[in-house]
Amino acid sequence: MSNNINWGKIYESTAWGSGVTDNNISWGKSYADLAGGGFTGLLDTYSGAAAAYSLRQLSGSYSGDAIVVRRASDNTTQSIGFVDNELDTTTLESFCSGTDGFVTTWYDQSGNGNDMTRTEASFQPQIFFGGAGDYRGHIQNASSVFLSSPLTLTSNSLYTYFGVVQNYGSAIFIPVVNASNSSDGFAAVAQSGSTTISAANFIEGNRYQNSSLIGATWGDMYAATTNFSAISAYIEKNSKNSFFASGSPIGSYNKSRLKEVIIYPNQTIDREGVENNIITHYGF
Amino acid sequence: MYYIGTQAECTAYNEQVKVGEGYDGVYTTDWATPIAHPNGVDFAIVKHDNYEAELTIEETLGAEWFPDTEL
Repeated sequence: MSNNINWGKIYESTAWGSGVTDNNISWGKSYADLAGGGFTGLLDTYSGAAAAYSLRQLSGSYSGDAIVVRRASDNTTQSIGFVDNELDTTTLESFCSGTDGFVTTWYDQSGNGNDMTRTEASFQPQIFFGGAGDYRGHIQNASSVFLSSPLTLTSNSLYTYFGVVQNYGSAIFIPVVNASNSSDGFAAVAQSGSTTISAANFIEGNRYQNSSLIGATWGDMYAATTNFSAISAYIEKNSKNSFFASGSPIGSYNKSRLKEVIIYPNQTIDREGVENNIITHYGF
Repeated sequence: MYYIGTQAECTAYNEQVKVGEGYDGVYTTDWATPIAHPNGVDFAIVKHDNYEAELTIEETLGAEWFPDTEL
């Protein structure tokens, strides 16, 4: 005996059906959709990050904004969240229309509250270029321009860094860790030319681009980051603590662009798994 | 572009820009923190396009401002 029940008709005739515009429940949505935001992000699969910053949503349970932007025309600020798990560029473009926009806060999506901030206007990275390309899909560091995290990388500890980064200058510091001054070392550096850059206070570890091991020199790193790609690095701290940041405190050598920065407080995280998530999302 | 002066002069320039721009005091509190030269005398501060000061101006800061870095 066939089932003559018209499920679609019943759906349409209930309060959950057509004409109820504020009701997000549909027959096709799962319990997970209703309870957790409806998608599985990188941090849902690869949990335990010490800090995670991105222009995409990294967790289905994260309900905060992505960034706070200051516009140059009147110095007012606006929080920018996500739409369909990506940065709400419509709100960003509306807020910054005709002027430049700078990031004052890059929220930590890990749940640890390690938001990156910069309260000095001249050192806030740019995200919107009014009249010259507008939103370009990244946050741009420059000379002395970067965001600082309250996250401390503690002495004699192991970390794994992931970043979606690009260099746009002759010498840059990419997955950068800084401390109170410029001599306290960097987790990874990309540089053109033959001079060397101090990486004091870190014990060097392997670095990867799009899941492939990169050569051991900073020049190799520079060549690898001419275009955006997934960069990852094993970091081992020596006997000194350092603070995490999006860029370098050194004056003129900080020409990097960022879409995403994630750091785990271990080297047991499934590196290739995280890399594959990033590679798939960004199409590298 | 940077202005070079004493710490007091650079701090005053920051205040000039800060007041002129009316930062919200929450997300943005200052224009820039003056950078100290290792000689202990000179300081530098980033120039704002819209604010002038009667200080020496430099295009960039040379490596002598950051002697701890091997570049």
